[in-house]
Amino acid sequence: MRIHQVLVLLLFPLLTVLSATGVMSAHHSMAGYDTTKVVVLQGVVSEYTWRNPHVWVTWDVKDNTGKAVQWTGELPAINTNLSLGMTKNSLKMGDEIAVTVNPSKLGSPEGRVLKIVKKDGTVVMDINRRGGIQGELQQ
Amino acid sequence: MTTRTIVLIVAVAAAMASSPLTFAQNPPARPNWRPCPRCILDQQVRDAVAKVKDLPFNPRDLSGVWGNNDLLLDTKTVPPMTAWGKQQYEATKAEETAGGLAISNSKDGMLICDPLGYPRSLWVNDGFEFVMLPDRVLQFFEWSHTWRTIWTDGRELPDDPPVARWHGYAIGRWDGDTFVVESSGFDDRSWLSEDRRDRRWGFPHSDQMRMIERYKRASYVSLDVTVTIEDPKTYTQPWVTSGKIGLRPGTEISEYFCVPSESQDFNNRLLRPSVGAAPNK
Repeated sequence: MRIHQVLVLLLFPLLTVLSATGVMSAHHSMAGYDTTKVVVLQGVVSEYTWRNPHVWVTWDVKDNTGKAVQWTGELPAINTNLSLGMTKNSLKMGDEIAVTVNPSKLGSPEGRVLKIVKKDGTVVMDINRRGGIQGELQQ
Repeated sequence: MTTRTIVLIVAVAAAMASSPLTFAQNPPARPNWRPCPRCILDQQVRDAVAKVKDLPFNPRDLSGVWGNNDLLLDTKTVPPMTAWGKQQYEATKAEETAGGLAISNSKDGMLICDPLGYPRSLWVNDGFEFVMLPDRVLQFFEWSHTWRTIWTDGRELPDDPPVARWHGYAIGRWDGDTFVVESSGFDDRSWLSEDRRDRRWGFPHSDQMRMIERYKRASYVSLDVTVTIEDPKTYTQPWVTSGKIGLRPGTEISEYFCVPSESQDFNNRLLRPSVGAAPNK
């Protein structure tokens, strides 16, 4: 990946928790995303779609040459986003954001969003806040 | 002050206390809109449950908002499949790109908003509500904003139903304090569940499937549930799933319709591009 803002992090413990809670896996397989890889991409919001079955956001990320690459990130369904404190007004065009994603296995600019932070440090969404009650209920 | 005067004063005070004018000045608290079962954090669920968990309850009253995908089909006890069952299972396998990547769970009707059918609506519901009526129990599901009717008026299951149903035909009765639901007449296009061991596949069933569900209210906030699936055309043994489903105090069912046009848009915008597959028309 040639985008200079990209930070590659290995966060297996986090991913294990996410997968155990089943929070994001109810609607479709995540087979298209590389869940062993976590990257953070900084850019500017160009579209924010507050819809089911999944909310999505697109943002423009500049590569090493200064050319903008438009990324599209998949978020959970509206109900889960509401639980995380996100609303239909959480993002608007032009917002500067840093988005943590599991990127597409193909290296194309799509990803499964794990966290969004605005330039001023506001955490717009963090999937890890959700919790994990389902496992407890089965005990 | 005469007795007559006192009676008059009391009567006037009583009339004022119940008048619309008085209510307008001191309106009773109105109910608020509540969040949906999946619209709150799990810690908020824990806190709400802790406040009511020891309340007394009627074991024959199941009403309330329950679960949020609390109980999943038990994939540790998948029964052996018949030859026909294996064929159906293989037919559920997701398509692949030329590069050999699975296109998610592309054969799953859920991706295009086909009805989940039963029992899949019990596993994947984002919360459901039991409503107890004199002659039936209604089960409203958040996902797809749909319901199932469980008849308790003494009727029997149809021997040869004229129309197969996605949620089947269901009747209920009380066995002690356990609510027992029997069902049949299912449309075989639905899956029992996606195969959570590998989401490229789903578990099929035939139109011969019969189910027995047992619901026992173990506390104010908990249901013990056992689901037995009998489908000898597909599986050589009954398939039993047991577990608990929790109450979601302070929540209400919202409106999560599965909208085909929105799902198609999502599939073409994200799901298929992420593996290099062309959009569906």
